[in-house]
Amino acid sequence: MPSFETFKKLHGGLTVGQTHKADSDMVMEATWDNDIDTRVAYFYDFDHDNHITQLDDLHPEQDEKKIPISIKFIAHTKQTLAKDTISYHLQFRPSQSEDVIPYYKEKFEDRYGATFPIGLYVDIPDSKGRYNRWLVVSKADYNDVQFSDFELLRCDYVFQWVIDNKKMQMAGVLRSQNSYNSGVWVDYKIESPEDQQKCLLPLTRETEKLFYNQRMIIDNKVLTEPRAWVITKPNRIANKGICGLTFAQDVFDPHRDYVEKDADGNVIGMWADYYVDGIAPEDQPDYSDVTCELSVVGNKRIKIDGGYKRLSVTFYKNGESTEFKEGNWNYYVDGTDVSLFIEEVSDGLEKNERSIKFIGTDAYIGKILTVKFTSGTVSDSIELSITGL
Amino acid sequence: MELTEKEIAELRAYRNIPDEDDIRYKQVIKEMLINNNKIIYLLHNEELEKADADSDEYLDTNILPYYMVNPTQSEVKNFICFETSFEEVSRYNSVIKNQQVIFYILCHQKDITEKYTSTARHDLIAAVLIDMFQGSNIFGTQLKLMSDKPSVVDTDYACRTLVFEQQTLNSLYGKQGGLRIGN
Repeated sequence: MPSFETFKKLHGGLTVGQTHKADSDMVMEATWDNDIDTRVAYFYDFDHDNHITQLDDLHPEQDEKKIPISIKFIAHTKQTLAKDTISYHLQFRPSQSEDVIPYYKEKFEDRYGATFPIGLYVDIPDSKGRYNRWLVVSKADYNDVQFSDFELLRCDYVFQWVIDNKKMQMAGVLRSQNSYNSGVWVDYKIESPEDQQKCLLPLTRETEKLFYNQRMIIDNKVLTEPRAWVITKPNRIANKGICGLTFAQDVFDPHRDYVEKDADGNVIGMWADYYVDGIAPEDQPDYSDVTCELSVVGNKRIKIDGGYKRLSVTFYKNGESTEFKEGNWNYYVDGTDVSLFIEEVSDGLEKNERSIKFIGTDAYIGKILTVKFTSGTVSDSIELSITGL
Repeated sequence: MELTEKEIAELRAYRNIPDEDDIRYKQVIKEMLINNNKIIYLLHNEELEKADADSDEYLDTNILPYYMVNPTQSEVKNFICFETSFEEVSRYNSVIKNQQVIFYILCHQKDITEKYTSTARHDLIAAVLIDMFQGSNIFGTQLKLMSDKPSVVDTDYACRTLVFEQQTLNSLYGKQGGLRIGN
């Protein structure tokens, strides 16, 4: 039996406890594939997600943006119907490097103080080999700090919202929130709905913008009126890398909210605040080639005989902004040129900017002014709602 | 349900027709407020100031033609809300009413002191409004300040309520300009 000093020399000067841990890690590595919980899972974030609306039956092995890592997928508790969906645990090999996801440090660790791999999606095969989407939501080493694992929740909903006049979709996790009331609130003369909801989403530059007063429709794809919600508690700090949102039930607004249906009449999208001042949101622009984007300072309203609205054009090539090119500005209402009713000012502005004022009559209130910028084969347009003072 | 163009034009005409005081007065007040640099400055909306936004952007943001501030206030903001009302007609002549124009000034307590004057913002805004409206004939007859009361809203806002009153005609004309009384 070697002496303690010899033992220490053999194990590089570690304490006995550290040596036991090192030996345990070696055993874990050696027996990793013996465990039925072991499987290859695929990790990625929102920007590397080619199927943002798909939750189940994915094929990550065919997707080069998703990174395979061997994990153990551990059930650590039992589900009861009365409570929220349980989490599962994810464990890495002791030797697993965090650098395997090259963008994690910049986008999660440095930016939000997150710990790898919190905030990432993981496609994990079930017992039948079908890959389903999960979200890593927190560390789970409260029971055993020696063998760190992480909490996983199954992504069960695709959240849709409109922000800055653009449509956004992202997979996330619905969580229940007890509101301890009947579901309605009666206040002398009016009865209104009163319920609460929670969700978890990865924290990204997109979900950072989810804040108070942001509305979403969260419901099943029903043909009757869906339930609308408004954010009342945004929490970006409890689990770094995760955006936790609490919602209070709001009223469905048939003038602004939009239930999108396909040709067969089935619901394919539910958008809160889709129509703002009568203007529908834009789809995400494709920055892959040379494009230009027209934007406006402030809201998308222009008042008759009101102040000037400043517009600007930015050119992009392969996602990066590039040099401005001269072009033509045109103004339309219902397809008719209304340049006569536009006062343009460009003095004192950058060459990609223009300020405009609408000097038409009150007959234009409620109509949409389309401003179009064209430079060669590249063009973009923006809609402004014409209002009165 | 769709309206005809004629019906839409009739709805728009309320903005200008005499005796449709609620709408017409508010149009006049909106224009006066957004054209007053001191009011725009005192409302102190940093986001609009940084964007160099035009003063009409303050409408429906800081200047509200109703006394209701919605939705959730998650940042420091100041408001001028205004309403019109009347409850009494002249005792011996129901053709004359006592029309009121009420301003509600709400300043967030975190932005309560104006830096160039070290004065409470809601008092300053009230002073400018009194300057603009007290004794003015912009609504046809002379406006008089009848009440100037401070209060607190939600423990976050210092509030001042100004009530101006005038004696004016009690909806004498119909919407097409024809005389209602005696028709």
